[in-house]
Amino acid sequence: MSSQAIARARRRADFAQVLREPVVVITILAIFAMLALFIIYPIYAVFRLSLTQDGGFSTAVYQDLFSRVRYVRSITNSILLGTVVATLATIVGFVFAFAIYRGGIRFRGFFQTMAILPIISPPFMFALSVILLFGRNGLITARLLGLDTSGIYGLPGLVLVQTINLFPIAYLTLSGILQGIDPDVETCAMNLGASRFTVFRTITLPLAKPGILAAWLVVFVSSMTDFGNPIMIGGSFDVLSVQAYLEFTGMGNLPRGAALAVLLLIPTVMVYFLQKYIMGRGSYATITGKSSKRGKPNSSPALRALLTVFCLGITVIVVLFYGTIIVGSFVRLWGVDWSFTLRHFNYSWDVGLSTLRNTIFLALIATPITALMGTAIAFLVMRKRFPGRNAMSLLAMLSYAIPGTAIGIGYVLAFNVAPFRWSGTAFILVTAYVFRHVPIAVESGIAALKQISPEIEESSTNLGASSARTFQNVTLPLIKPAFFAGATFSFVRSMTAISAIIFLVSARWNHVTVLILAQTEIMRLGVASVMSFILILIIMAVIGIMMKLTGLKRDQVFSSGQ
Amino acid sequence: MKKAMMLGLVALMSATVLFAGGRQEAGQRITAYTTLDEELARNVFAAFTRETGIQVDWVRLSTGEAVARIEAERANPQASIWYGGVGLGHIEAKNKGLTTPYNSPAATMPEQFRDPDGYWSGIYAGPLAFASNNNVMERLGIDAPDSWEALLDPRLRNQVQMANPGSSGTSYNVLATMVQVHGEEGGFEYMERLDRNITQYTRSGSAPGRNVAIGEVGVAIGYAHDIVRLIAEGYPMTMTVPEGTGFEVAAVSLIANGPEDQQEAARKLFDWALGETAAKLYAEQFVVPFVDVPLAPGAVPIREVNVIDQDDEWAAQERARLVDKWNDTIGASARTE
Repeated sequence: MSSQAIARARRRADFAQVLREPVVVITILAIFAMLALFIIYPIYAVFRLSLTQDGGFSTAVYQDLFSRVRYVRSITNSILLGTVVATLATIVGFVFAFAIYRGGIRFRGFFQTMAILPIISPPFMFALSVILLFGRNGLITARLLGLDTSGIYGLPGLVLVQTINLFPIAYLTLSGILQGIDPDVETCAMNLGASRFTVFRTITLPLAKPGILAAWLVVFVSSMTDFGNPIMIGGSFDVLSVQAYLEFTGMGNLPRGAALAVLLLIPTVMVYFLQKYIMGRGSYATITGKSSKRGKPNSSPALRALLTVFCLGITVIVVLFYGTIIVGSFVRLWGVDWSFTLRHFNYSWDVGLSTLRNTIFLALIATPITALMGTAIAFLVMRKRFPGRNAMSLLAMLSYAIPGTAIGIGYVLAFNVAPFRWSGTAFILVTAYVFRHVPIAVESGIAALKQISPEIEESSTNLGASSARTFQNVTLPLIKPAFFAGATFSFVRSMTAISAIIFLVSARWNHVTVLILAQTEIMRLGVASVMSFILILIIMAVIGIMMKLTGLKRDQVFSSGQ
Repeated sequence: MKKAMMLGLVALMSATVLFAGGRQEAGQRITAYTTLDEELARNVFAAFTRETGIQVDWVRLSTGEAVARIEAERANPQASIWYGGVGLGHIEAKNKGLTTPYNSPAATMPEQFRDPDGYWSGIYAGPLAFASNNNVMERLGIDAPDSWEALLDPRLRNQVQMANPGSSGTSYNVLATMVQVHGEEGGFEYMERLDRNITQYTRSGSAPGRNVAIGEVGVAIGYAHDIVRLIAEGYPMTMTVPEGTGFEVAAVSLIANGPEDQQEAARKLFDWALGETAAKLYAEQFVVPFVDVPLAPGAVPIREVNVIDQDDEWAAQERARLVDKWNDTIGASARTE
């Protein structure tokens, strides 16, 4: 038999094995059906609308778009913003990771916390802080410097806010990479006489390169798809996500909104897969013998001081941003009347309580579903052989790369007509949360399963346990931490979601982030601050409770935030 | 265990379906889209619920957003009534077949303020005016602008704010007024010259007024009642009404094919919106309703203002075209400073 024939025979045997387990077959089919309905179909609806005119296929909408300066500029603006932010955030993330894992700076625990804290903030919260600090009435610009400037609205403000918001993603990717580089290699080089800089340039940096590129690409996508920050402080710097939203919901030009969403979707999906490819291709781990894993920090005292100052500087900004929101909650009228008040809390209580309750309620429903589904997909993909296995993991991960704006528009288009009349219901919000965040759970599930040798499970089966029993007694306990970490993080994401959700909220089911945006829009900044503050408190409380209950470490929770 | 997990998953999914579909509760409940100011909307719906026992679920949307939302939901309308919002938005909704006629017995306002076919009824009217921050004016050493021409003063560079005519009914009203006064070419020329003084086009029509109140900008174009309210709240600002200004007729419409079980309650709310109790609440927020109720100090009745002979039918029909043109010319020139 040729090797191909053997492979084919094996595949057939594997498949026959799967077919013997009806539960597995049903699960596979159900997952495929759901992925098709809640990811493929809505995206198809967006494409269809953007390519239809007078009932027939047409590229007229796109031709019209590209003939108008405003839209062409929003494309170039999005790319410009993504490029600048990705570069800055990757640098900041790298310096943080290097300082903590290689630089030997002090207070590492503290800096680790500061480097991941921004990840749990709603995506527009820092924009609000920046308005309070650097706006026309900003504490720093107007009060301390006496400037009269609206300069923070637009590219500069967006770069500042997104860099702080997104550098933790780069940090998490890069700290993983740096930890994977065996310090012995560096130590050896130094023993052979290389200077610290030579070691960094010829060893550390080349080994980290795929990680740096991957981090850059992930941040690029996150910046392009960000909606909360640009709508708040974008000013007249138009970007695609905001343009698509305004066309779709503000101007009532649905085909144009859909086309803009497609234009946003194509580069993000491409870049996402490019990043997957880069991370998957090169093995950037170093192959060595037994390592002491305790290298000396590759830094001189001067460098350590420099790194500490840098990290401290970023930390000050992060703390300042959070502090501003807290202070803003208690100030009567920012920039005009600085007296202490609780009236924003009263107002928020009146306006926002039921919305907040609904937001938490829906996030709590979505979270276990997301985690269960993600774990199920991870398990099937890693442990079962069946046709379409790769397609399943691809589909499940796809919604990571699809901008929320496109998903939101897709859900409006797809699920407002028979047979799927779900608009205005809680159901549509829950499905949006689940399918937006299922990649988080899949990813952490896969990561956990990768570390568990299938042989452990095989031994259990060989000893006579059924497949189900093996899963229950062996696999499940081993992946439990990943399950809860994925669940915790998808809860955070559900609470802070806005880009897709803003299309789907209704009179009955509003979302607290949409409410905060509305308050900012009408310049009730005190109320917006209170609501952001409370949202952050709830998220921290939930993370704290989850860590207590499940014994998860902070790093485990946040590593699913990449 | 895997079975249990799958069962749990299916159960949870179906529970959400059930719970999403099964919200027909005993008490009457209607869904409304409103373009009233958030605070006014809260007062109005709370009073309506107190009086009738009918619960109102509502979202606040700008005029443009409301029309877009109702259009997007055309196949499966979620709300039964659109309450508030610039009249020409209501005309546009009517033209697109999104609303349904209702001859309310309470529609007793002058004919020019309601639809001849009964699609929409006006609830109050208010002129476009300017809000100027006193401190900023003092710093710049100029008087608050009191005419459309004065708004072009180069000393007001980067000091004027209005909303984006695409998303804000208020701001489209400004554009339509200028086109009606100066003709299309002249109107756009004016908007272009005005553009030099504009800092930013906001999404919502009431944002510029608030920005003036707190000194983020010097001058805003908005509706008189929004400005009067801010002045009454104690902000250091002045209102001026230019000669020959546009005005809004805030209106209410029933949404076509709204949820079946809400129809009766929606008509009740429609009648109530035109009645005295509601009018008093509007008046508290400094607007001038068509029903004769005591006005708040400072409120500006439309009859005391020199308004243009405004053609809302025309303005509604031309909206998409004029907004596109505005976007292509003025909206396209970036100011990112």
